[in-house]
Amino acid sequence: MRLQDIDTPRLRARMRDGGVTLRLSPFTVRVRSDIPHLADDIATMYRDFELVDEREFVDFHVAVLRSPHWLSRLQGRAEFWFDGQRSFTPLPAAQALAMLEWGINWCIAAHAHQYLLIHAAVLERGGRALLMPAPPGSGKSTLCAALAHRGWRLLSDELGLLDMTTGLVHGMARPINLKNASIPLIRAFAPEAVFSASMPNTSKGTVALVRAPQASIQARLTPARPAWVVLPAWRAESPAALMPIERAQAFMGLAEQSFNYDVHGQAGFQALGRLVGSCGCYRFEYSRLDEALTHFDRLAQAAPASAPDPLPEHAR
Amino acid sequence: MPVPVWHCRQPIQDVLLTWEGEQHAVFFDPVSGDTHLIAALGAQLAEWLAVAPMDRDQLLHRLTHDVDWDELPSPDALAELLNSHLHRLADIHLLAESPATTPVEALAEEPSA
Repeated sequence: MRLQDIDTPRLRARMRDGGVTLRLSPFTVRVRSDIPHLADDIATMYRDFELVDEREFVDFHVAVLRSPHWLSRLQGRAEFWFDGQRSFTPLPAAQALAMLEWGINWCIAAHAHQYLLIHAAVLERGGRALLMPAPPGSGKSTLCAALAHRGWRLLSDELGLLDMTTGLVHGMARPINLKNASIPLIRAFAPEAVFSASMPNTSKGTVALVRAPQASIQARLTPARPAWVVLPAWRAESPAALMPIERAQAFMGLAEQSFNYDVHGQAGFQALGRLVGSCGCYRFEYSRLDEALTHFDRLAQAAPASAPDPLPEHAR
Repeated sequence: MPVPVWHCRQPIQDVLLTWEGEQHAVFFDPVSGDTHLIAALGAQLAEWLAVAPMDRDQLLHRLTHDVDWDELPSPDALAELLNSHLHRLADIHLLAESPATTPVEALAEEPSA
């Protein structure tokens, strides 16, 4: 059963009562909320995701609930809850969807140490994965949204899950988080993209989520083998330029953008070493999306440096 | 007069990543958990010292004869370069300097029957 199989009144009721459990592979997340418009937003962003049987194990129990305190309630604030504990500062209920997405990201980043977690956009084409680790404000999500709507499969716009045993990277095809000027830019660039309502005045400015393209959602269970590491940077008026960098520099870029590299110690060091050793590594500057995409198309058309290892049987 | 020797503190194959033709390498310090970007020349020193400890003169000799320089630095510049690399690599716990021992001291340290 998929989320879209539940009609709006039933979904609102289920989310208010016990919650719904979404399969955000490789995780399962139970979401509960007493905010009706959040149920509607989730229905839009996650309509093609499967619901998990209530008896199955749940990795993360989260909730976005109206604040019980009278002043917060008067101000229309909402709180994020994880495993029965209130977490983070309450935010306006109008920002509930952003809060939920950030909260789920936090749950994964803080707990999913079976993976090496990299703050990176991850896309795939021709069976090869592109990792773009970058700090906030580098234009990573904008570029990711553009690529995802021009033939690249979206795995994630900000959480790359590296399996240190297989070397494969997993994604969840969750919505892309766009901010400020990127929102009208991607609306114009990809009119077919499905947006949430814009949420103004968040700590990151105005935020809107973009649903992953259908093909990416359908293929979300298939991991990909990394082939390129690209450190992106948006620079005003800069012509697009893809410049090779040393693997050692790409390594440091990935390590700096990992949420749990320090947790894994030497195993993480070795895993990142294998990753950059098998990838072409670049720095990328751009200001215009069309120009940027030309570079990535050329990258995808070029023959791989060496024949990629096939996916292990269990990963297909 | 005995001179101190330098040695590599770590099993290098586990903690050092180098790539052919690149100017930098990456070192993981298993004690602190820190990762450091180091110059390829520093990685080369560590690789030599992982095979056998050496003193400064031996390292200078190897730098002079075993490195493919575009232009060989002057002896003073080479000595300064070596010093800066050794100290940097000692700071990040990849290399260490062992105190000098005379042959007599070395004998004295040997266990007796």
